[in-house]
Amino acid sequence: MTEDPKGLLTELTAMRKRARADRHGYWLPFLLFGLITLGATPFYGPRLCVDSGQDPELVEPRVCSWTSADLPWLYHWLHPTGQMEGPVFGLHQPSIAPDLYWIVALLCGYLAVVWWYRWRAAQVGVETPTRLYAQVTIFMLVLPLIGVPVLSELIFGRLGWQIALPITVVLIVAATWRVRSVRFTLAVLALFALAHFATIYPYGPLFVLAAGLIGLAYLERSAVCTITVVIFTATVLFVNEAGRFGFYWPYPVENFASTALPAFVLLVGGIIGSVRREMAR
Amino acid sequence: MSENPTAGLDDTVHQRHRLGVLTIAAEAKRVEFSYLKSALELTAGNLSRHITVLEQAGLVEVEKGYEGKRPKTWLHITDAGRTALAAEMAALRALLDRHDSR
Repeated sequence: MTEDPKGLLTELTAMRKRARADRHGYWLPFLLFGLITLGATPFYGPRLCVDSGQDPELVEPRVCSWTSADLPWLYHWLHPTGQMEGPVFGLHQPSIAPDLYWIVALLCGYLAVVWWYRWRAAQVGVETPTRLYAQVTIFMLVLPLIGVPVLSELIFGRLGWQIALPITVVLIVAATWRVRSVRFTLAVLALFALAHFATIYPYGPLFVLAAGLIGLAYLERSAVCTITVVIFTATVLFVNEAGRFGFYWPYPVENFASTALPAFVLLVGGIIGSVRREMAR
Repeated sequence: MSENPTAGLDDTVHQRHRLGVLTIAAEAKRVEFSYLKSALELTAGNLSRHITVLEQAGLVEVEKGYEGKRPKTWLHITDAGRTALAAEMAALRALLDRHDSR
């Protein structure tokens, strides 16, 4: 190492960059969550029925009809204000199956990511801090499961959203203001909003995933990781919100495009990260 | 007249290898002894002495454990270590700015 300040700063910068590159491990979580997102596809397919008394071989099956009363209590607990419907959600019919899939898959994915970074640290010798990722993910898993239903039952259901929303915001600000900074308060407010989105949109669990990955990108501080998470978050917004603008998926892809597109983004980001890692060796 | 930037240099931190240890440790949650040895191209004994100085100054904490049967020494930077590193980097940049402006 050199003695002059300029050379020393240059060397320290190079050392910091190398340590950062060595601790990067985002590519595996991207591949894992890409596959998990792709694995959700069958839960969003249409359920087809044939009217009773008709021969299934002779008549064209059609989308099963449903009423809110047919849905189990757990569905109403997880979606206290119901779920959005629209052309972009294809022939989506409310069901508890995607909820159960996402809860189990996101929890397993979270545990796998934490284990992965610890395992990688033991191999490489430099460990990425995962506390922020863990906190955001656990918060975002618990909030739609317990926080949103309880808030809906206790405040929103009784007072109406016009009164309940300002009260909730004031409570969150009061609870967080003195604990940390304005940034922390804004982050908690944003997470509450995302948790609400997670309950009302059919592809809402992708918001939970996006929140966790934003936390991961903040910790990783990698250009590829950040760009992938930004594109993924935009894609999640698109698949959930495009219906407002009258968007229809083309018929041949309508049953899988809303999960395949965000999964594709994560898989590409994971592959690029993995290739870069191999090339750097 | 402004204070000379060298006044901001801390002898404990300014030593170039110790500065390297702090820079790498600040980039991670924790860093392993053999990684530092390889990155800084130091012998085990030499690195140990630098780490002891930093530990005694409260700038890093050392955690010894096992990975399977192999002993491993992990090191993580303290809040005081981060503050000292930031101050040292600021002093170095100020020194460089003063040098460049002449």
